[in-house]
Amino acid sequence: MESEQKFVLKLIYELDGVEGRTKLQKLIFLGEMELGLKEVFSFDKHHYGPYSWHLTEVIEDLVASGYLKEEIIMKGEHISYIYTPTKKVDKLQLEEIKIPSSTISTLRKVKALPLGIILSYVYGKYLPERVAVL
Amino acid sequence: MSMESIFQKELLFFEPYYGNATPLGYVESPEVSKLISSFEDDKPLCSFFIKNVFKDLPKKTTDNKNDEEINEDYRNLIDFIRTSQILPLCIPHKPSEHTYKFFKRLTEIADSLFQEKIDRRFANICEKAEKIGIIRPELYIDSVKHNGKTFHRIQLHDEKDELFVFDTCLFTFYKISESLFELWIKPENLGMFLEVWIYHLLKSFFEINTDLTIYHRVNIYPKRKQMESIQELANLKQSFIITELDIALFKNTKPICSVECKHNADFSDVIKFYGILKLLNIPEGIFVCVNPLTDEKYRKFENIHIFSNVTENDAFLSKMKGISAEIYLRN
Repeated sequence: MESEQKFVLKLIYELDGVEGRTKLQKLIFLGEMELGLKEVFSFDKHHYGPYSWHLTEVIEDLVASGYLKEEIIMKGEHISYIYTPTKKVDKLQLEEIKIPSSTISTLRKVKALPLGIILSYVYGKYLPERVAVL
Repeated sequence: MSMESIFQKELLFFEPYYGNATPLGYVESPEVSKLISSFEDDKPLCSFFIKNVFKDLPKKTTDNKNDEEINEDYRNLIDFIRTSQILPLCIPHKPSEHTYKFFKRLTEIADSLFQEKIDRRFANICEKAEKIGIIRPELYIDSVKHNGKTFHRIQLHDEKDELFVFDTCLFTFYKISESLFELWIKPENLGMFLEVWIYHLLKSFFEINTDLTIYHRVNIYPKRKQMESIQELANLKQSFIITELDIALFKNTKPICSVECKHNADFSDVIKFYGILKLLNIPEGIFVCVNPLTDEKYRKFENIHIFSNVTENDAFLSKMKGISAEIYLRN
């Protein structure tokens, strides 16, 4: 398993699963920008805000190889994904990836917030020119 | 169909108050939408789901000793359905005598309960529910979930309080859909059916009005200055959200109406709703309650249209659609 894959699995495992690709992207982005997470992924000013195509590829590879479970749920006219590690994940493989518990604790709290609140923060701080209010 | 939401729009009500709606998957599911559509020409079914909170189905206020016995039976049935998420209509394959008797008894109890509540046979209810898609037959259920755990064998106490164990894989059952379980059976979501009914009703009614958007469960919060750090974000308290609107209607970018739904309301709830409408500068409100709040089934109080005893009011649907249409045209 590649180190980026182990990193993503470790993070999702520590966070007890993550709902939504967008939320996962933003959690890792904020972790790298403000919580000292190793900069494994680089983020571009995508149409949807800070986004890493590489991270999307890693997630898709993990799902395809059976390490990550992707549950699809309908939310109105949108699709949302819930990611959880599968039983195939060998926790011993992930032990070499170290993420500080304080980082996990902060990310857990942020993960629990509505996506809109997280995006408001990300856009407001990193892309203020993109903020739209209706 | 859109992929996952992009930047979620904040809904501006009235500075500094904003709103944020997070659609619930089970509310928007096709089978719930179909179930609610079926209410249009099936008033008893509508009344059954809206008036009855699942956990209270066994309740019966009477001094008759026999009725107490029925309560206990209903309670056992409800507990079984809630914990297993399956309906005991089918008899297992090659059952033991004990298993056969256990399920036959549960089926009889279910029949009795539905005859009493909605004057229909349990089998008929299941047939309709299967057509709608809120239950489905499972040829092979290999596990059931209960209290966050998965079981491959079910252990129950029967009416004689004897421990009863059976393997799930031997059965064909009707499995209750996750959507119905979330909406009606899960204790945490008590009473949500009423607002979901009204939400779908309005969505369907205004389907062709592309300038109108209807939101379910909108959290209201005062806009804060931009947070400086992720720690500030992480420490955001739940009290940040000052209230929640059951349903909000926006015409283009302007809020024109909010709908409040209550099973058991008193007039202080109407006054509170009045205050919320004033705070958020929403021109009109619709207040829907199951109990007979006012003598009249429809009454206007200030800018609030109050509908009482809605499940016993044949004219409720048409009147509410009419009022909603007027609000839409007026604003």
